[in-house]
Amino acid sequence: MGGAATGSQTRPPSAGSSAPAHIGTDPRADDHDPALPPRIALLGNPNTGKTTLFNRLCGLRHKTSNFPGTTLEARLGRLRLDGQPVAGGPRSDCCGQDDAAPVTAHEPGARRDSVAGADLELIDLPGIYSLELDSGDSDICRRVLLGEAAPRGDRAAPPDGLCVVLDAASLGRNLMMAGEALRRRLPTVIAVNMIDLARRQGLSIDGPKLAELLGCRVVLISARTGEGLTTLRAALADLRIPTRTAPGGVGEAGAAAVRRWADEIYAQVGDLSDPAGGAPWDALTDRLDRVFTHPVGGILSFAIIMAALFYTLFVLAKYPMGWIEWIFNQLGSLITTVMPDGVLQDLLANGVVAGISGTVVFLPQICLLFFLISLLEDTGYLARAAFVMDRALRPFGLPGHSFVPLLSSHACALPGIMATRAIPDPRERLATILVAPFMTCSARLPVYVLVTTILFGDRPGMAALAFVGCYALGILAGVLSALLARRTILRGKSRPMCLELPTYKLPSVRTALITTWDRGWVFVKKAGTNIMMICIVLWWLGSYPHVQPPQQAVQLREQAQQLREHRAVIEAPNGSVEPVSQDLAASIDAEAQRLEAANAKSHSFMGRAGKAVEPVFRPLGYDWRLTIGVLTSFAAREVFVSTMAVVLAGEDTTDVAEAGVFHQIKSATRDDGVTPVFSAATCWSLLVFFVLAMQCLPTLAVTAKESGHVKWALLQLGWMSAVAYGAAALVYRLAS
Amino acid sequence: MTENSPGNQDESACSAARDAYESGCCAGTSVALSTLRRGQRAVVREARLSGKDAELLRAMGLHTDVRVRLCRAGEPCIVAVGSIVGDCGCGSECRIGLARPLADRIFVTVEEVAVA
Amino acid sequence: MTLPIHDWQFWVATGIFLFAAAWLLRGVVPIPFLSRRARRRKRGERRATLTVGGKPVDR
Repeated sequence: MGGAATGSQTRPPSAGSSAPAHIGTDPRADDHDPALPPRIALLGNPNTGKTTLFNRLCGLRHKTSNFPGTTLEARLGRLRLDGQPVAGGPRSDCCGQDDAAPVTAHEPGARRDSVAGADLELIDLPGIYSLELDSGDSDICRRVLLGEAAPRGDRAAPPDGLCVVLDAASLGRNLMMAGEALRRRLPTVIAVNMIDLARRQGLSIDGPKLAELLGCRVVLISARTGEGLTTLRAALADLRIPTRTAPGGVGEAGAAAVRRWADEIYAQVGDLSDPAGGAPWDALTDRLDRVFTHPVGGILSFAIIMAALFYTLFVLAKYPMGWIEWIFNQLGSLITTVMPDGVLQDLLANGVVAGISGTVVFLPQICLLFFLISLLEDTGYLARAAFVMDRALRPFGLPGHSFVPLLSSHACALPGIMATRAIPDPRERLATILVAPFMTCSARLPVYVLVTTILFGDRPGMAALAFVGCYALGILAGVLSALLARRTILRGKSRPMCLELPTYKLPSVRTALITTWDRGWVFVKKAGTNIMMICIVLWWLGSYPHVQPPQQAVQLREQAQQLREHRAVIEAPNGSVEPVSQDLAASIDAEAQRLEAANAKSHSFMGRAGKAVEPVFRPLGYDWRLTIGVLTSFAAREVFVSTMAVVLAGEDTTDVAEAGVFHQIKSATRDDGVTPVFSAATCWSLLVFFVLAMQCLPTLAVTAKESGHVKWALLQLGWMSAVAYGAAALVYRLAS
Repeated sequence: MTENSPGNQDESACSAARDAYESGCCAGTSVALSTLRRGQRAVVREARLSGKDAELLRAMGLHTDVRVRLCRAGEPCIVAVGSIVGDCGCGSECRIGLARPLADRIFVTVEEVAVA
Repeated sequence: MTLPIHDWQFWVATGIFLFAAAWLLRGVVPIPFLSRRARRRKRGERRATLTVGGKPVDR
């Protein structure tokens, strides 16, 4: 691939080029760094199984990153071709126009003529309906194909080839995408996916004829079952520039020409051999659609599905959470056993291990949530839910188009805000951008889990209900804010919604597992880098400077010492030990230790900062420790739990290594030694604050960029902070 | 698809849809998509939509002369959109959900009487 | 109020603290070795602008 994108590197689509050029004869080969594997872009309509195919081909050999300047995700994967015949494998489903000169992976030669022992790099582009549409996704695909955009950390250069994924069951419409791809004049292979589903519906596709008409290789595959993938791998290793192209042009005339071309091709290759074959399937889909989009039934089923999802989440996650906590406890014990007492032992045990375990313990929850949502998405249900939500959103001045950005914001507000580019109306788009951060993102989950578990530790049903309540509160605050904005600063009418409804199917566990792995790995990396660094900084700020122990603690120590001396005296005559005195001395010592630790923390750099800001958060029920937690969470919400683990470390008389981080956080007390830091009223107040507050600097930056002015980001910050503060103060007052 | 400016046409499109429905849906008459009954098949003739809506629907396959089957009437209006293949009129199809205001502005000619 | 400056472990811990603080601030303050710009320069990468006829193209 070439170096940085320049005008000279991009070639305009040339219609009518007909020489059957191999990848190796592509003029761009000169720009390619031989050390880099050829890059193939996966292009296709939404719901064509592109991601399933990507997962099948690359498995876990991939990385997820963003396109620079955007937060649209791209997945880059490696496709291994070791020892695999490239063009000599089973050919029953592979249909090419130039099969006379098969090239095998073992054949020596230039990089592009042979990829023996080498890999291919696949880039999974967002699903789009057309490269010509005025939308964020289409724009990024266009730029990738022109070599103007590449995922973060990669050089921008045109891909070496295209793999266009078409849905066999709606091939007529999908062929329009193929037409647009052919006009790019890049080495191309067409993968007709879900061929098994099409057959079940009585539809057969003439692969060789399709290959002849398109002028490039066509492979009939089923990414779900793996059918045809060997052939596809071979075809990917031997990509050629198509010998034919498609008509094109701008506007309605161009679109009509591509459409006619697609219809003509489909009429020649598609054959409904069994017209009644799909009828039962259609009838079932109709029935399910009617239930899931029904005004009452739709909302009811949505509520049941979401409640079941979160209940499962809580019930299943508690076991691996316990195991992770146990592992970290053992690690803490090991450190305190192996290392001599001192600053470094404290840094490792109470700073690094306690801090990281505070975050990593929530990994099972996060993984399970993404796993279940991925399964749900794969069934085709979520698109139906979008229409249920459309009815619900419209009264608040948001269009149905807002559903997808708002749903994405439940994972992270950044892609959610970027997804608002698909909203055509600028006022509706701005309203959606402003309220997207109200949706519960995954960074809030550790806080929700911590607080709901403190509140309802032994009642998973209630905890799940509180969890759903947090989501609902975020959504409610979002839509009410949107309504306010649309009635005041963003007046105007809503645009009606249209959305493709994918076929209902059994979800792919493999795809869900890979998505879970992706998300989980991002979380672990974050815990291992940024969160660990924050923990180290907080530990240092919380440990220095050293101060004299308080007078009360000194007196207690003396008292304990006297008791021990007294015990020594009464031991002498009969050789027995006085148990009462021994226990009493130990408990007095423990109290002295707690006072010393609390005094040291409160006079540390961190304690002074927390106390300076504490009056601001006092109406919400937070002491200086919680204030520190809330302040650090403005850098990243999930840091809150780790911050509390570090801030509270050492204040409890039980050791982290013995009792676990969660116990230590739960049982921590305020300066008076009696009132819990996490009282019920404080927990509710915290929960409400974290649901509503704007604690994400990257989101503010993206809001400023996407809205076109920093004033909207400031408005978002001001409004969300005010709402969060007011609501949390109210809840604290009501609950205490 | 024919593109007309949306805005103030909401009312006219809705009343046109109502009139067409009241005058009866029968083969050959151009009526609003929203007036079809479940199971009815039709061919799209015209869409009075804004540029971006029309462009998106076209790219999604809901363009002039495409055959559709109404799967769910009301809000949302769900149509199966298919390619016209041979004489049987069947072929591959995808489902598109449309909000009522969009379905009101898409005009079709009915191919057969409702079966459901 | 004192800092245990005679304890070598304090200095090790402070070194780790300073590294961690620099790591966290690398996105805001240009720090040699840690900033993304420095790493990009080390890899020999540079940003480029798409131009047509010598004029930048508006993306």
